Amino acid sequence: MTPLEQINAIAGLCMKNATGWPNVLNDLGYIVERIELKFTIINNSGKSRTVNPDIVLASDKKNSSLFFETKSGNIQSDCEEQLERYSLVTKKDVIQKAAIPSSYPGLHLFTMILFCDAKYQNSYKKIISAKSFPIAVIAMNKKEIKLVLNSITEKFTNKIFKQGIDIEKGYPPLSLIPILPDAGSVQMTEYVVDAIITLLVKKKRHFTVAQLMDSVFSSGLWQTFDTEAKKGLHNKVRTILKEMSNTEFRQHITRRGGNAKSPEEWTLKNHPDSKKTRQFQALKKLKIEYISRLTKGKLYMGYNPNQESIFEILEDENSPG
Amino acid sequence: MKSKLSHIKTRRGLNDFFDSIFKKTYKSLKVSQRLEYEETLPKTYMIEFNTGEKYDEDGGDEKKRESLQRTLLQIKEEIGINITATEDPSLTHITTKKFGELFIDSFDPRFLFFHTLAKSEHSDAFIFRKLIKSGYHFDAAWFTVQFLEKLAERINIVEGWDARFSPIVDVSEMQKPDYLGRRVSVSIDEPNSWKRYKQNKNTKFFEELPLSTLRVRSITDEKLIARARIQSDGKLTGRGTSFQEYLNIVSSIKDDYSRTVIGLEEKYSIKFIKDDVGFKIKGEPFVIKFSKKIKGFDDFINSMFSCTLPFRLLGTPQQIKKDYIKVNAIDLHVASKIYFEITPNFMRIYLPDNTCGNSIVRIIRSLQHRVDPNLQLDE
Repeated sequence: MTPLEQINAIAGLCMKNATGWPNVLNDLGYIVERIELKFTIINNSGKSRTVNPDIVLASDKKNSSLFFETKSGNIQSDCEEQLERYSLVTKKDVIQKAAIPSSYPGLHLFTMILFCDAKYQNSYKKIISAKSFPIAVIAMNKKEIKLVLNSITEKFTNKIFKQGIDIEKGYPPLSLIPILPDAGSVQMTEYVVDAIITLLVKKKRHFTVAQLMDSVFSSGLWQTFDTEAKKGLHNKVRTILKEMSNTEFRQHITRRGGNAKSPEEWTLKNHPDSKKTRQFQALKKLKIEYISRLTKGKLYMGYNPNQESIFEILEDENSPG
Repeated sequence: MKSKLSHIKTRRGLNDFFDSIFKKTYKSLKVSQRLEYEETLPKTYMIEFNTGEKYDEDGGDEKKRESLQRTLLQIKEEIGINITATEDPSLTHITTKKFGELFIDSFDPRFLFFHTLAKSEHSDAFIFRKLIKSGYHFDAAWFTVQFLEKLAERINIVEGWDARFSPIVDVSEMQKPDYLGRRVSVSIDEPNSWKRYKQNKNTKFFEELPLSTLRVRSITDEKLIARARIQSDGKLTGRGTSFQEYLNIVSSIKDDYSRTVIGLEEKYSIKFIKDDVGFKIKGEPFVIKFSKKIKGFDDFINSMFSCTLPFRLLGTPQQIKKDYIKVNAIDLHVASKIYFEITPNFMRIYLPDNTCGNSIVRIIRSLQHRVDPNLQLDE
């Protein structure tokens, strides 16, 4: 499971409608309080350190909050230092800095949780036990989501996770948070392609990269990213557009006025005729071909204006993949 | 085409003229049970107009009407219309080359009425094949079975109803030599028709009975009558002795529909809201539960996202499990993104912010008439 899939699976536990996924935390009044929360704490050496849990759930009913750090893979070298920071978070930090709302702040209960793939749980358990970090470990496999180390301070929540949440017949929600800045390049490309097709259907003639970002990361998601993430994404999307304009989508997008010096402005062409279904189907086919080629890591075999001679084309054809 | 209605410049003028047509056609139908040559019944198409632009409360309606005028000017060549302003800024007269004349009532600039006296074949062709397909701003109002049932319970008298079910065909089934297409079509007109609908719905005799049309009657305290035939694609046909009373029916349906669509958007639109320390999520998926496990699941998925009617969704399904599909789709009716998670037993629909709630009701209505008439909604 990817970190995004884990975040969606956790958020799904709070959904009002339980169809296909257990909403056990909704019954306890939990809601998704924050995603990508960022706040600072003071460590033992008096230095300011950032804590950045992936998702925070909070219940006013139970006066409780759960801070999840998700781990989709095995333990990394910087993990211990990261967990140490989590272990230093106090109730004061939760209320004052993380700004978790509570009707009774003095009695608020909070738990730092490491949420991992069950097959890697032992390495995380080992380090947390060895350092006596007050961090609960919840592991997920195909059958259940279960508390496997330490406990959750709120007793009803603890009981639920200790018993384990049965997900064997469940269908995890995947689209509550559709995409995050650290998405893989193929996934990112899919979202960019969909945004471009949407603009083509809308018969837009021109767009800037900045305008496109609101469409790729819709529902206000773009506005939630920090400046650094935005800058990185801007570059990623610019590269994807360049790639699209030189390969499968070359008939549909080009730099405005063919000006290489203004990579921010793009022109759309060959818009589908809204009365002709086949033209939409052709766009769908083009997307499938493009994404399939990227997934397989193959080179584009059609016309590429960057290839200046027949030798380069032959070189591409003979290259691996 | 030469205009026969160009003399109508005001709302009162429109009401009086249509009222005279009401009385004339009522007389013809009463005397000879049929309309005279070239007589037609007044029709109203309820159309959703949504550019996705957001306006402040103050003056928002005027700006939306300006946006409607701009859009009509943009597409006038493509759909072949001439636009004439009237003295009322919320009433626009359009003439078409082949499809007759229509009046657009934009008092509610999001949910419009297109009134016409054109023949059904002409006005249907204009609305459904020209206007709605012209781009992404216009969409019909789509009345789900639940919406029509609630309407029937509320409205004065139900005189009749139709139910039609025409399932999407599983391609592998079609190739069998003994294949016989399945279709259910029931139509009843009688004083007890609504009682019979409720008695028959969900019985073994009529497992598939998705309500597609209601025929209702309303009588004023002065004994004036209006009858309306309400179709699930947002088309209404009126007759009786009072156009005013017919407008009351039309207007109340619009209010119900507007509340439904806006309510869906408020409850289910997914929004991400940034603050100083992170971001919050608002909204959640809309869930449709199928009454029976969908047979031919793969064919159903391929058909739903093939860009064709009735769904008009462009999407590339991604298989998560054997019976679990995720699709990031584009709703071609409105050129907006919409996300799905589908199993043979249920469907989750994620409505990104700024995507119209009309998409959800259109999808429900299509599923009811083509896939599962007894599906259940998360309401």
